[in-house]
Amino acid sequence: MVKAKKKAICVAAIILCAAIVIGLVSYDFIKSSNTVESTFLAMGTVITTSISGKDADAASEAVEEALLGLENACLSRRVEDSDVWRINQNSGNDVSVSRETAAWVGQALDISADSDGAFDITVGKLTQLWNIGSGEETVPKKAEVKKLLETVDYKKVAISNTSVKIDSEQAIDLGAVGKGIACDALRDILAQFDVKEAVVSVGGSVLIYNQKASVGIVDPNNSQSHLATVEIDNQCISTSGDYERFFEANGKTYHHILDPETGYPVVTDLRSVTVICDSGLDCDALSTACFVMGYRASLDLLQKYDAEAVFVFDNNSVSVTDGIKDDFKLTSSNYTVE
Amino acid sequence: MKKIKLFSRYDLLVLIAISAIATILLLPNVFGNNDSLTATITVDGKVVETVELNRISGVREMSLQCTPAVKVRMETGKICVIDADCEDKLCVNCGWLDSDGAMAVCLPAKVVVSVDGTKADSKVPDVITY
Repeated sequence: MVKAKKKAICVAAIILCAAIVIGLVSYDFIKSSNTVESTFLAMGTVITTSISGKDADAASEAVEEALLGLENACLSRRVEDSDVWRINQNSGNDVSVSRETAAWVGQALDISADSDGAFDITVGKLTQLWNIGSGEETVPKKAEVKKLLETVDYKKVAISNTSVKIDSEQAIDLGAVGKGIACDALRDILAQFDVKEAVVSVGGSVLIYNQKASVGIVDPNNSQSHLATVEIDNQCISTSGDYERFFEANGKTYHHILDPETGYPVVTDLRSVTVICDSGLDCDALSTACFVMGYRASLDLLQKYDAEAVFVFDNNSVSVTDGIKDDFKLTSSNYTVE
Repeated sequence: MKKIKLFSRYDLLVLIAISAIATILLLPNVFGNNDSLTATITVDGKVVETVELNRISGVREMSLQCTPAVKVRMETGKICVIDADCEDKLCVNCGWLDSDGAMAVCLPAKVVVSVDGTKADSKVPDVITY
């Protein structure tokens, strides 16, 4: 009787061991086989996705489709009949747009107001004039800049339900927040699927969905390297810097972040600003605003939006807001933390 | 006192068999080549070449079928775009790509050259913001 009992215990132990081993192997297999990674071009930039979960394949396809739709239907200022194209073509008149576009314009205007115009979507005509990133840039005449600068004023944009009206001389450009908007839209798309976790980069604006992830902050002096990492948990992160798009003329470098007050590329001691918060649009807009405003003036704005930031200065020093100090790690010996 | 036998010969055989299968399945993950670097080249979303960079000996150059024209060069453990017939040459300026996550993109030609490797090194972040 005792022998039979011990034998039963042994068999149970063997089965338990086998179950643990098989469980570990299966977990490893399922985890790896249910992650879909993809890289593609959309919205004039490169998109990388890593989506895990039962519906990873379907979600990955939906993400790609959504981004194309977002550009063509809403955000592009070049695609005919997109919401932004129609707003600009019909300046001076109420233009009926999608509920989402009206909300995004409204959200952008809030940050314009809170940053006292440091971030302003009505720089559309100025960005067209400079056309930085086209490969055919020239420094515009002062008179041209001065004239178009008069069109920049976010206070002249009016939203009523789902219609948007800009001043007859104005043009809006959502390019500075387009990638962040995409991150927000993709969060909603992913939520419709059985997705466990995801990391999506829309041209460097990143959505961390349902997971923790280590995000590298690009080194402004070497685009193939990162200067630091920050641990993000289920949030968005965006960076604005002077290194991404620029041109050189007459021995001077002109980067793509225009100061809405001067009409010229921002003159600053910053090389980049990285912002972390819940909304992709807010991250994009705040990183631009902070780059324009400078370090000290940005702190209250960041606090208002419950956002954290990493400032990289031209003397290779780095400043980090208090909320992420424990999650921030400098990885390049070329920089120092203030 | 009668000696009690805990495992029969068959129980042991089953245990050894299960352990062996599990070990075989786990081996690639535990002892996999942590130095592997794979370059993937896509044109207009389609993968045109996947190359194990550490297996390249000498120099290999490849002209991609795209407009504007783009040419890449591969050497042991690295890849770069050496020529692109576009205005801004951003992809050429990226230089050598030799680490996990490195990427060069030519938007006009819809070319993406990306490098993927193992992420065993904890210093490698999951994604880069730029």
